[in-house]
Amino acid sequence: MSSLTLLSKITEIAQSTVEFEEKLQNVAILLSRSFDCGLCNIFLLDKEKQSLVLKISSSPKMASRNSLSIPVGEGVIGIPLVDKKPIIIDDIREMGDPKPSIPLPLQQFSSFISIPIGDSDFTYGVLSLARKNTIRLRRGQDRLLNIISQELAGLIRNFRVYTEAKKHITELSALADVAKSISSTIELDEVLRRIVHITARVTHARSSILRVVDGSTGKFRVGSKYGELPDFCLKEPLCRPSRKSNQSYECQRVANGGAISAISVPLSFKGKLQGMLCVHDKQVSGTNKSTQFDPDDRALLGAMAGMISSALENALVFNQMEKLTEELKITQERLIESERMAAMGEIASTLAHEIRNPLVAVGGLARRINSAIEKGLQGNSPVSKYLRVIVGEVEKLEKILHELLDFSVDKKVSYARCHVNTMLEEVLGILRGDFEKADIKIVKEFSNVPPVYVDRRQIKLAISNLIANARQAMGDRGTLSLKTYGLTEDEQPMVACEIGDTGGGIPHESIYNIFNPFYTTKVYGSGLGLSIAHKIVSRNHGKISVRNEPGVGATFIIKLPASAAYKEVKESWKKSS
Amino acid sequence: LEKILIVDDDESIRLLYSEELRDEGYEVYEASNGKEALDMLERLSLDLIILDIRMPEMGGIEALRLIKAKNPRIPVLLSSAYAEYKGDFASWCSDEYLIKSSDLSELKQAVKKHLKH
Repeated sequence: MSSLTLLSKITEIAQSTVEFEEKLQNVAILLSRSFDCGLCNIFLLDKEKQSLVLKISSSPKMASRNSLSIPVGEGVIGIPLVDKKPIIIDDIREMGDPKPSIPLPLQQFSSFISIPIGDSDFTYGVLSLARKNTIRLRRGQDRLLNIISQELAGLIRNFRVYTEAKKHITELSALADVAKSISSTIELDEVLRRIVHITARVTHARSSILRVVDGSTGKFRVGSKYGELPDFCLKEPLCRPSRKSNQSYECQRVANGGAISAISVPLSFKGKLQGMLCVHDKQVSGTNKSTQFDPDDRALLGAMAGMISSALENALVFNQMEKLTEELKITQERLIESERMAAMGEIASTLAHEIRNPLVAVGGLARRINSAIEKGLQGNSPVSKYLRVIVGEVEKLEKILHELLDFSVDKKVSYARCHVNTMLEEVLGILRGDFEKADIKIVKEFSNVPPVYVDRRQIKLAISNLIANARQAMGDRGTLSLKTYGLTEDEQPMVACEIGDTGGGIPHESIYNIFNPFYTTKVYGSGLGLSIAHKIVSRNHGKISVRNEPGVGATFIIKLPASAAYKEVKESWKKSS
Repeated sequence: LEKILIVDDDESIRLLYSEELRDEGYEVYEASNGKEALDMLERLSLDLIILDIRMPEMGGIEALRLIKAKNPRIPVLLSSAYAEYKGDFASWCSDEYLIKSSDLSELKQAVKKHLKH
């Protein structure tokens, strides 16, 4: 085979799509045939161990020998790597001393050619040819072998670059996966769960555990775990990195008859230790076998630690914030509750007053009736007068109770389209008789207003409270004015309803208290009427106000959102609730 | 006959008190707020006043101050549904603080006691 043919065949092998080791194997077989030698071996340099390891052999018997390793600089295989030039021994038996040593499996051969595989930058190993008889190199064949050695160096370099790049891509995609997974949530438990899950996956670990530093005790607690952890890993970390150093730590421990490999990496944020992540028991992919973690796994875990730490910090801060918000909510509720209790106390005190007067009258008059009966009823006995008062007082008590229930029970509002004018007419229909008995004129000024979206029964109660209030303020003479009209407030269409009286208005000192429960300036009534009206109107998303003219009269104004604006109103209710 | 003025915005209370005190042999007058009470104090030579606290127009505390300013010697008994003010009555210069009750014996005893002085 001519030199050119040989080189072209080697190039063909190098460019073929077969695996790297098969390429080397094919080259070895080709060379052993071309140079007519019994054996062609390729040794590759193990830099850490400073030795040459048999990687490829043209002889299947030789290839099956496990780990033939020769120290760098030793014998026919080791010397060319150090000297960076080939050794050609025609016949070792004819050589004078000192003879280079021959590795045991090669001692059956007498002729050797060993060429360093390398380029100007790096030496990767040694190509070795051996023959039982003398190898006679033809002219130029030594140069040819040098060219082949450079070709092999290129092949190995390309493979290493490719492997390195592939590894980087895998690592990068693993890192991207980790980042994507742990940053897509902020809920602490979920973040912890994802961290252990994804770190185990990218390092092919059978199990992983994340211990976090408890804020209150400063001790580690198990935050989350994945897979079946060996018992001793659960009790204490298999390997514990120094709290001060950020270095990951690798170890092995013998358990259940096999060694368990583990990597432990501390997680810290801005110099503060947050936790520790351990992965255990690496699985050979596609098999059920265990293997040791390698430095790449350790580097990958180290690279992930930074982003895991910041995701963990975010989740911890968020969790803390959630707790604080919850505490704040509870405190706020307590405050509201205590305010409510205070208001209840005030109401109870006023209510006691409202109830005691009728009770005193009822009880006192009943006693008088009793003693009148004991003395024997006489013609001019006041008993029937007393009984009338008793009945009246009991009615008063019932009314207080009724109003109180209306006020205290937070009734569910049932909204419907209603017409304010109709509701006013309906309330007037009930109260008209009373107004006619007294000398009270009713003046109506109703406009054609849009419907409103309210609880009909409640709004009617509010209107009737306001009208009853006006009636009581006027006594037996006056004018009740009822007016409706449309208006726009804050760009929202509203319907207004005014109820005015000529009862002299509200005293200046009382104007700020009129909507407070039990506040009254009247001889009759519990003082709840205005308060109920106020509560109802607010509950129906309306507003109530008063226009007061001391000495003349007062006008109460209810404003309710028009149902034309119902859609927007509903949206804003949703937002506010 | 000794003249007693009952001041209360509650008509039923006035009715009860006046009937009861008339039976005891007093001459009884009624007023429904502090202002009316002061008017009557001018016109009548009253011997004792029974005064409610919470009333429209002029409440009992204001009325008590004005009554005592005009006539410091007239006994004024405060009669109220509020139990919690009982501790304060001395500072208001009233002579007695009575919590309203359907049993009027305490009221009648207090009236008797203060009219003797």
